[in-house]
Amino acid sequence: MMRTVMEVNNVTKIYSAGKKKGGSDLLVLSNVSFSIEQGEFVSVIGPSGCGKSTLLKLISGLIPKTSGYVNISPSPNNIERNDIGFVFQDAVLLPWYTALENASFPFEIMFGKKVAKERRSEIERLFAIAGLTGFEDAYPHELSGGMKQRVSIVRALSYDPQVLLMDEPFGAIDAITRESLNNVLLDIWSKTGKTIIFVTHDIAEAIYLSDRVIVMGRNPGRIIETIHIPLDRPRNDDTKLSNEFYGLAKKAKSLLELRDEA
Amino acid sequence: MKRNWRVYLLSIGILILIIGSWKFYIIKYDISDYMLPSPEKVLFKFIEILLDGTLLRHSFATSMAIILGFGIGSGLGFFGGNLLTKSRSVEKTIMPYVFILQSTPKVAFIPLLVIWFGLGFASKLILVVLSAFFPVMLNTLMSFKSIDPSYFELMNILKATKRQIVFKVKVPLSMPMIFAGLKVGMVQSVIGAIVSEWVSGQSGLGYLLVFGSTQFSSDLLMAGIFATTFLGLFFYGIIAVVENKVLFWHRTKQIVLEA
Repeated sequence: MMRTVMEVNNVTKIYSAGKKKGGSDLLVLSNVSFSIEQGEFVSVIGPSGCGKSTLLKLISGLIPKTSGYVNISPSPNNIERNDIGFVFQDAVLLPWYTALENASFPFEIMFGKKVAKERRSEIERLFAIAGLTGFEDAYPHELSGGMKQRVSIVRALSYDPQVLLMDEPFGAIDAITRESLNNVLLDIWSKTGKTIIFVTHDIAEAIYLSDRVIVMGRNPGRIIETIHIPLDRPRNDDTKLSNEFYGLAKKAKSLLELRDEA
Repeated sequence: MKRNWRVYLLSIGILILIIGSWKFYIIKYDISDYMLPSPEKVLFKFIEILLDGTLLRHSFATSMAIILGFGIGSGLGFFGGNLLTKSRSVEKTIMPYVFILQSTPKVAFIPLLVIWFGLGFASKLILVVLSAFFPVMLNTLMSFKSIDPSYFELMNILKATKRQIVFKVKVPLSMPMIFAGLKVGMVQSVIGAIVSEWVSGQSGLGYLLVFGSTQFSSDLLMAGIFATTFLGLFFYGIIAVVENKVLFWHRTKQIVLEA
């Protein structure tokens, strides 16, 4: 039934100190392995310096792996040349483009401006799901931080990538906006059926969003444990008040603290 | 809106006050014409040289040097700044010299340029090129370096070509700082052109000023000063207008426009 979309196998990253400094090499990530099913929402949490952002960059190919490999099974109907969508901590929008032009920027890069314009309706459909309808022609400086981040999520989804990688996308956003963005993201996820890997340092956020939470530790960066989140969907504010939620949060917290003392 | 109106009125009031006290001072202390001509004499002189073609001829000579020199200098500056970002070690090797040359007042080169290239258009042109080159090059270099690396990561994710990275992201994102460099370069170019005409010119507004000085013709000198002001404003204005069009999206630009 479930189709494995992505397989991360023994991925290791070593930053070599170089000969001249004579220092030792830095092991950033050690033998990280996991696989992800089609449509799964997986979060990665861990203290700063555990290499969780590095992990996303290794998966996306932004930085080269020292060893190990990542397999992404190609989507049957993916006509684009890219299997990965990436959402950064900042929205990284082009300030001279409107929200809609920004969201269709991947089309502009892949097929040129003309195609980008022709595919407006696809973007508009995603805008509707992300609650951006009416903001199509707004420029980034006219949008709030949360709205900008929604545009960048739509941009990452525009070309229908197999996997959506999100690197602390709401880290720079205030707590109240962040909660509503979490719900927008869940909405987008359920309507598009995307497979998502979400990096955060917020335990509650990770549990609220995910099917699985991968807990990482540092020195060296590695996976400590994977927690399954059996909470019912759709989730809402009541989810966060349930005993089950507390139990999961406590477990994740103890795993993180345990490793921090070491 | 009401407050703006008052500010304008006050501005004009100050101008009237200055011209008024200028005129008053001349009458009260019986100042001779060659020390300080009266405002209306300066105005008449300005109109006179405007009508007889003197002003246009000299402005044209200065403008040619500015347009050509600024064009070459800023173009070279843009490519120079671009080249330096290609390699960290090249940048580190060359930057100290760039900073030293940047701090040297370019007009200090004029006498030497006269020896090398003669008392003509060439030495004036080279000075303007130098004046425009350094600010544009430095700002181009700085702006490329200050771009958030996430933009390049985004382009890598989208598998963009090198060309696309440069023209769709790198150059447009660095435009605000490049325009700041162009404005500084333009101010320097106008100064460079006029000062080099003091020494090497046979025509141009700088030449006109020196000529006025040898004739003790203060009204011509002051009219000439106003002419250089208008020329400087004109060229600076062209850049500001283009910047406004190109950088409609730039935040600080809007603040300036609102103020």
